[in-house]
Amino acid sequence: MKLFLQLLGNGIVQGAVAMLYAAGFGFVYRSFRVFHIAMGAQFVFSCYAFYLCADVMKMPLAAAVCGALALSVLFALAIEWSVYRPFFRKGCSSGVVMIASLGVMIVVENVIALAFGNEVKTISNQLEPSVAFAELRFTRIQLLQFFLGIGVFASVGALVRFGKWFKAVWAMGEEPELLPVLGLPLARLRLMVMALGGVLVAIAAMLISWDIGMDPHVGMHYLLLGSVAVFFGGNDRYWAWGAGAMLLSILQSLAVWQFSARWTDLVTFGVLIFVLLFRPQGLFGVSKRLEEAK
Amino acid sequence: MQSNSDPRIINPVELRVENISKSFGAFKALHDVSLTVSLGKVTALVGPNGAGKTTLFHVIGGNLAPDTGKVILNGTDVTGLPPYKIARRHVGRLFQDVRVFPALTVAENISVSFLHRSDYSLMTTIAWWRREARERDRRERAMKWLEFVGLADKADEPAGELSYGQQKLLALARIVALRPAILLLDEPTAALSPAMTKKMVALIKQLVAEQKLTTALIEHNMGVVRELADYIYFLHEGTVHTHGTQKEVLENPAVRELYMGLSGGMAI
Amino acid sequence: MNYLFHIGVMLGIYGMLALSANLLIGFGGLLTMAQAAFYGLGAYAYALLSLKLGLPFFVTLPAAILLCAFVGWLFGHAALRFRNEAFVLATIGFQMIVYVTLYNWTDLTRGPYGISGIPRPSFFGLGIESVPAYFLFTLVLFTAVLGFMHLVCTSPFALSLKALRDDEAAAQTLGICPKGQYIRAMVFSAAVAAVPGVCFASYITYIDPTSFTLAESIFIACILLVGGSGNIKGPMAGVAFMIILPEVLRFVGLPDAVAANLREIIYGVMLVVIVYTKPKGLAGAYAVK
Repeated sequence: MKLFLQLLGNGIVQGAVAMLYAAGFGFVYRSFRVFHIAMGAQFVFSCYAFYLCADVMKMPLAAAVCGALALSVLFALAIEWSVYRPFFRKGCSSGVVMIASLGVMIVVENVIALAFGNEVKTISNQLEPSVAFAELRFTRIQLLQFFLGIGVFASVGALVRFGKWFKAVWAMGEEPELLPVLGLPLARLRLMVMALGGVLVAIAAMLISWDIGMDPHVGMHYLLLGSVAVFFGGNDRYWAWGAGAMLLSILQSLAVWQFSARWTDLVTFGVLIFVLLFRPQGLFGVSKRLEEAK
Repeated sequence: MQSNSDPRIINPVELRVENISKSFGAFKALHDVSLTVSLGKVTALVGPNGAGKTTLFHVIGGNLAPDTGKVILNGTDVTGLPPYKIARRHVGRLFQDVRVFPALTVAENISVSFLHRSDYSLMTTIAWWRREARERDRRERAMKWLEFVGLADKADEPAGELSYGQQKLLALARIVALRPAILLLDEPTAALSPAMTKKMVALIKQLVAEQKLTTALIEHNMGVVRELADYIYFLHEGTVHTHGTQKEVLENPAVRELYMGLSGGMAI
Repeated sequence: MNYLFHIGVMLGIYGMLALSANLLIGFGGLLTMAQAAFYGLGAYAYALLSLKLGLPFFVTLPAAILLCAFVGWLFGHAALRFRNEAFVLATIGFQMIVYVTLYNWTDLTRGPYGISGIPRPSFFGLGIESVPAYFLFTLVLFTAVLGFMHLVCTSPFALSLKALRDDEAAAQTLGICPKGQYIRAMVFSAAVAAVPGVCFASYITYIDPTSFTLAESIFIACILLVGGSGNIKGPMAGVAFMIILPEVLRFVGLPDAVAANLREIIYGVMLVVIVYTKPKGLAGAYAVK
C-alpha cells in the first residue's frame, strides 16, 4: 500500500511536468496543424541552455533560469523563422512540414552532441533532505516540479480561457487563411504560439534536467510522451492535454508497481493504440463532424 | 460480386431517398428529405447554397451516415454502406471540386475504373505474363472513353497537368467508364468556361440518352438545368420546398422569390 | 577488399528495406515509422527458429516472412483506420511496443544481451562463410526482392494504391476499398521487410534489440524521403546516398565520434532542404503530401 501511494505520488509529480511539455506540443500541433517533432529539439536545447547558464557559466540560479528561458524563446522563434514560416508561405501540407520538423530535430540533437558530447550531464543541485508526508517521501525538486507544473499549466489555462488572442489561435487551426481577412496578424500570432510553446517546454526541460540530468538524445522520448498525451487526452482542448499527460504519467508510474520499470513504454504505447482505436478523438475530446471525406 | 468493368449495358435503376435527416451539432443540414430519381431521367436538385444538396449527395454516396432515413437503390436499402460499396452498385459520383489523380497519367486515371478485385490477387500481381492482356484491354477501353470526351491525344500526360476544364472532363470520363446505372453529378459545369460548359452539357445529354442513365444533378446554372432536367426538386434550408417539372418549379413565384431573389445575378 | 563486400552487403540489406517501405510510403502515401519493427521480427524469427529448433534456412526464411506478413496483417487492421499524423503515431507506437518486447522478454530473446552464434545459411552442407560469398548470397536475395517489387509496382494493385494515395475519396467512388488495399500493402511491406532481417541476422550472426529501434525506422523513412519514392529508382538512389555518405566521411579522415554526428546533421539538413525544394526526392515519382 505504501509503495502504491508513493508511486501514485511520483506519477502525479511527473504528470505535473508532463502537462507542460504536452501543452507545448499541443499548442503548435493544434494551431499550426504541424506534428511538432521539433518540440523534441526544443526540449534538448532548453536542457542544454540551462546547463550552459547554470553549470558552465556558473550564473546564479535566477539568472540561469532567465537566461535559459530567453535562449529557449529565441530558439523557438528561430524554428518558426527558418523552417515553419517558409513552409507555411509555400503552402506545404502538414505531412511535408512534419518531415522538415523531423529534420530540425535530427540536426539540433546532433549539433548539441557535437558541442557537449554524448555522455550524461548533470546540473549540480543541493539535494537537501527530502520532505516526508506521513509515510511518503518527496525530494524538494519533486515538490518544485509539482507546484510549478500545476501552477504554470493552470495560469496558461486561465489565459486560454479568458485571453482574447487564444480564440484567434484556435481559429488558426481551423482556417489560417481567415485570420488576415479578419484583420488579425497571422505572422505575429504564429510567433506567439511558438514562443509560448517554447517557454512551456523549457520550464519542463529545466525541471526535469535539474532533477535527473540530460543527454543529447532525450528529446525524442519527451516528444513521444507529449504527443501521446495530447492524442490520449484529445487534441482539441487545452485541459484535455493536461488531463491526458497526468493520466498517462500515473499509469506509467503504476505500471512500475504492477510489472517493472522496463515495461513503462509498453504501457504508454499500448494505451495510445487502445485510445486511437476505441476513442479516436481522445478521452476528453469532442468528436468532429466529417466535412468532406478526404 | 458483379464486375465494375462489365461491358453490357446495365438495366436502369431507380434511386429513392426516404425521410433523410442529418444534423451537424445544432445545425440541421437535412430535415426529412424524400425524393425519387426516376429511371433514365435527369432529376435536378436546385436551391441556394447551404440548402443541403451536397450533403444529400454525401449521404447517398456513403460519405456521410444519415441520422434517420433510408437510401434505396432499386428496392434495396443501401443506407450507410461505405462509398466504395455504393460505387460497386453502379452509382457513379462526380465531386464538385476536381478530383483527378494528379500523379497518374490521363489513361491510367481511367484504367483505375476498370480495376476489379481479381486484379489484386497475389497470382495476378506476380504473374506478369497473365496480366499483359488485361492491361492492353484496359488501355483500349480507356482510350475509347478518352476519345468520347476528346482527351485521347493527352493519354500519356500526367493528369495534374491538364487544364481545369480538361480535368473535369477526365473526371466525368472516369465515372462513366465504371458503366454506372446512376450518375450523381455535383455541379458539373461550375467554374467552366462557356465553351467547356457547352461541351460538358452535350456529353451528359449524350450519355443519358444513349445509356438510359438515371441521373441526379446539382446545378446552379439555370441554363444547364433547363437544358438537361426532366424533373426538379427545389431544396431550401434542408427540406424539399417544391418539386415538379421545369415549368412548375422554375415559374413558381415562391421559388423565384427564395432562390432567384437571393442570387440576383443568376443566369436564367 | 572484404570492406567493399561488407558495404555491398549493407547496401543490399538497406536496399531491401527501402523497397519494402516504398510500398507504403511511396505508393500508399502512408509515412510508416515501423519498418524496423518488421525487420527485427524477421531477424529474431530466423535466429530463434534456427538456434532453438535447428531448422534449415529454406524453412526459416519462409517462416520469418509468413510471421511478418501475419503481424503486418494484424497491425494493419488497427493502424490503417488512421491517416496522416495519427497513422505515423500509431506506427511509432507499434515500433516501440515491438522494441520493448524484444528488449524485455528475456526468456525468449535474451533481451539486451542479444542472441549470438546465429548460423550462417548453408545449402546441401555447403555453408556461406566468407564475406565475398555472403555478398553474392545477399545479391541473390536482393535481386529476388527487386524483381518481386518490380512486379508489384507495375501491377494493377499498385495502380489502385496510387489512386488511393492521390485522392482517397475519388478512388472510393471508383469502387476501390481503401482498407483492403492498404492492408494488402502493409502485409506485402512487412513480409518483404523480413528478408533483410533474416539476411542481417545470419550475416552478423549476432542480434540485439538496439538494431531495430525507432531511430532505425526513421532512418529507413529518411532513405525514401531523400532518395524519393513511388518508383524503384528513388529508393535505390536513397540507399546509395545514405549508405555511402558515411563511408566517404570516414575516408575524409574525420574522427569516428565527429563523423557519426556530422553524418546525422547532413541527413537532417538534407531532409529539410529536399522536402522544401524537391518534394519528390532525388529520383522519386511521388511528391510527399
